[in-house]
Amino acid sequence: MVRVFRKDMLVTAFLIAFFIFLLGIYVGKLFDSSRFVNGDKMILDTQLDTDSFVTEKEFFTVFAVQDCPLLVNRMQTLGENLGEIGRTITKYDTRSISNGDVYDQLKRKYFLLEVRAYTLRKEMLEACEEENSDVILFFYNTENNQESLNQGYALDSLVADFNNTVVFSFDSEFEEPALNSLKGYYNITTNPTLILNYDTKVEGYISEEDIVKLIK
Amino acid sequence: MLTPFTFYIWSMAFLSVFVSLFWVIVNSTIKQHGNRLVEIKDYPLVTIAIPAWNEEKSIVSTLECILNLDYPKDKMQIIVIDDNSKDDTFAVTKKFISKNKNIQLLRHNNNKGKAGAMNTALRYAKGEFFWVYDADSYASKELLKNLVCKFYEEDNEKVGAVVAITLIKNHGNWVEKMQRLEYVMTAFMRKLTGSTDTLHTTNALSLFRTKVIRSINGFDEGNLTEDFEIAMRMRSRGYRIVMCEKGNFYTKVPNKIKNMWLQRVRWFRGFIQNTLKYKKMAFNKQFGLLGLFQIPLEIFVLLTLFFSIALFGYHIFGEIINLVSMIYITGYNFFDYFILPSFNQFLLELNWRLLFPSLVVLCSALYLYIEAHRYVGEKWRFYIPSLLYLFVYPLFRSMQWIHAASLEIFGAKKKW
Repeated sequence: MVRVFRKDMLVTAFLIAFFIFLLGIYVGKLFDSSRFVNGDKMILDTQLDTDSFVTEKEFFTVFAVQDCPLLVNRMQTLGENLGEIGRTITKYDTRSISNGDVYDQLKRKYFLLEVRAYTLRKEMLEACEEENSDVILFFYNTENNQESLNQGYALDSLVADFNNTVVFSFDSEFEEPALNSLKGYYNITTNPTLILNYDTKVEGYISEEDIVKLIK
Repeated sequence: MLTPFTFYIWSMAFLSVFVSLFWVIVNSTIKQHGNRLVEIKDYPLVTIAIPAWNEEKSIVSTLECILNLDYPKDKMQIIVIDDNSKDDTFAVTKKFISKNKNIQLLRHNNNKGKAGAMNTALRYAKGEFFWVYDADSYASKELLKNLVCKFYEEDNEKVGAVVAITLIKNHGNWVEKMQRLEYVMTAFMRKLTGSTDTLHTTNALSLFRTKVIRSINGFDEGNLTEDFEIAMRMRSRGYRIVMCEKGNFYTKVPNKIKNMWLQRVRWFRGFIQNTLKYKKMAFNKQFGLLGLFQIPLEIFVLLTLFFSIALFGYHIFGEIINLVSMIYITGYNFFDYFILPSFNQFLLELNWRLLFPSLVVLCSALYLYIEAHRYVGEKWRFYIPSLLYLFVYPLFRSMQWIHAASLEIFGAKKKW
């Protein structure tokens, strides 16, 4: 048998492995950028939808046009889009290779949109006296909180069962002044916490059945 | 985010890429070299020791196979050691040798195991070389010549043993087919370790230099894997083990999972015991690449295997809890929430930080898999047992390692 070992084989293998890893990190970064661009585009689209909704609502108010069903419908779509963005950003966050700054920026934009949508919804409720739809605020904690996770499943199930229910979810650990105001207003101290239809506060896990009993 | 778990996964992925690339480089370098052929005019005497225990069905065919070897008959001393068989091995062999006077038959009054049988044969051995021949194996016609040639080719008194390529006789069911792939890969890995002088195991049909095994006091009779132990002992005394690439021998493998499990657990226990016994070789400059790379790598792989199983077990347990909670909470209709993503979305959601090195390891593994088949002269193809071998068998092996390690930790009795 020919003995072929030379030390430079180990060095070469190490260098190639290292190069592959650098390449892997580079590819990971490229995908991170694509994710960010994609997430940002989704948020921008929803931001435009929100602006469009606000403009339409203002137009109706100024010209005294009554078209609540249209507005309610648009608000519902807006809520669903926000839910989709939330799920996408959460997936991207777990796949990210770089530090979380860019994702924090996305999250911030997302939470702001949610607060805005929540406020608009409240405003619309008063203007249209809409009673058929329900809105839930969900405050959760991402780190090792099985209750928050289970609450998320229960809310997913609720939204799937009742099309007219919209959930706005917030990471209560996230630092954002508008979000802090919302937390302060509802005095959020534990996770998970739900605010049902603007005023009923539930702390700790609550099943889908019990939520239905409270809101329907 | 870089959590300790992510860091561990990345380190393991890096190590896997590094090791697989190292073997790819070694293999491509071997390909550039040829093999020397040595002509022997006067073949040396070889003692062929056949330890036999309850081998009444196979002993005659084994002896016929030996007598048909392409090797001068007057240069073969054949010794059958009946290790106190409960069947008619002794009578069957006696009848056979009545027509073949150059075969010696010895019998133990009590069962001493394979190592004991080989030590008995060693006492009667007259040959320059000592060939251990398992009674359930058979060699290709030219194997013995090639093994002897290998000693001459190396022309080095420090070569203590030559190891042959082992393939399997029976590959009917999927358990055997999976083992066939394992044997093909093992033969190839032995070629690679042989070419880097880190080979430290012998097998069922290895040829030893008689004076070397005598000088190290023969085979360890209390050992679970005496072939691995003697290899480690030889290496610890500075002897080399080389691989013979021409000629194969065929052995029978367990055809049921239970038997395979027990055999592997015994091997792995033997590995643990002997690695601990020769732990002084690890990180020891005196043993070159074997001491500084191969043995530490094996120990490291073993330790990380246990750690990885614990870590992944913990994560999988967490995931199962989540899944159960999800099914329970969502009222068993959780499939409603799985929406097929678009291709673009699918790519973005993939975990590239792990997928990329995994793909490199997979490519290296496939390259080595194809090369291994080419090496043993068998056709490679992908069928269900290949997939089982590549993706399921490692899990199975991990469980066997855990079983073996737990038996060692709790000091279980040795079972052959």
